[in-house]
Amino acid sequence: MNCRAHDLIWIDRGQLRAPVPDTELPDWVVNGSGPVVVRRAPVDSGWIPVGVRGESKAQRQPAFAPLKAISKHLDPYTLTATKPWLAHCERNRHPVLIALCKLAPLLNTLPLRWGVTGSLGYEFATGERQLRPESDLDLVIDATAPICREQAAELIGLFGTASCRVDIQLDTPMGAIALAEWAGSSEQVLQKTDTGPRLTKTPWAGEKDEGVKPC
Amino acid sequence: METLHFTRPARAAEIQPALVGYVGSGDLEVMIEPLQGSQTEIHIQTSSPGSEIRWRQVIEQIEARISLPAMRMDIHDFAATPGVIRLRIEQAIELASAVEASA
Repeated sequence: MNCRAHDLIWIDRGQLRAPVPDTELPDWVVNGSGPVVVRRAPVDSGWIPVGVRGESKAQRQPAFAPLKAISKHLDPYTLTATKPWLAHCERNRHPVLIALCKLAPLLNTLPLRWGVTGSLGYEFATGERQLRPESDLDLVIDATAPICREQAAELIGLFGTASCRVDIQLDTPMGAIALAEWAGSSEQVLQKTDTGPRLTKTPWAGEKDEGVKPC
Repeated sequence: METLHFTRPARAAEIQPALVGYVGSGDLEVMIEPLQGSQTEIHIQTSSPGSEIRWRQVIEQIEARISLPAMRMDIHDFAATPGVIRLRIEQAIELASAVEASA
């Protein structure tokens, strides 16, 4: 199984282990239910780094999940392909859903895979209420193939203004960058990789091949 | 949002205004304006409550690597990790100091 950041995995909570050896996970993690979210960190020989969502926003717990014990796995692209927002009772009311209903048809005209992540993605996957009045719309675009800065700027122009803050991440094989930053004028952009953040001019290239042009 | 304020000793330096970063979860925006005198004023708005000690540590780590120019720095933080915060602040100082390097 190939797990990437933002994927949701279902697992017996008792199988999770704390990120630091010989420490215990909080009771709300072990006794809670619902899927956990793959986070960006090095995979530790068969253990997937995950984040556990609690009831309040402050309750976020990093943990590791044993690959062998995963009962179900859902990536944001598969989740989004079923257009779950069409069945959401607040699709005409909540700013995040209004923004998504406007953006989805635009995104679906593009030859790109995209998905909903964050609180709304979790809500779609579980049916549990996660959206708050102040929630952002979090999206990910599969950027396995390079997207050049001009294309990024065209995408930003195409999407226009939204009814809430929209955070679109480009998921490159090296890690994630913000679409808006890649479309902007800053020479270096921040990339979140499995081994930590870096500033780079070439998000599709490793540290050793900085000279490679994105496209 | 919680507001934090730090004042640190700094060196007088010719810098230019700079803006780096990204308004999004796990990231932050850093703005720099030149400031007369020999101190740096850092104003932080953060979505992470109770993070003053962590911010102090990050600032001390940056001071150990970079001699701060006199400036006003405004930060809007959206629960960035210390690693992201360090990179963004160093990126902003580098951009603000570009005028110094080319002078």
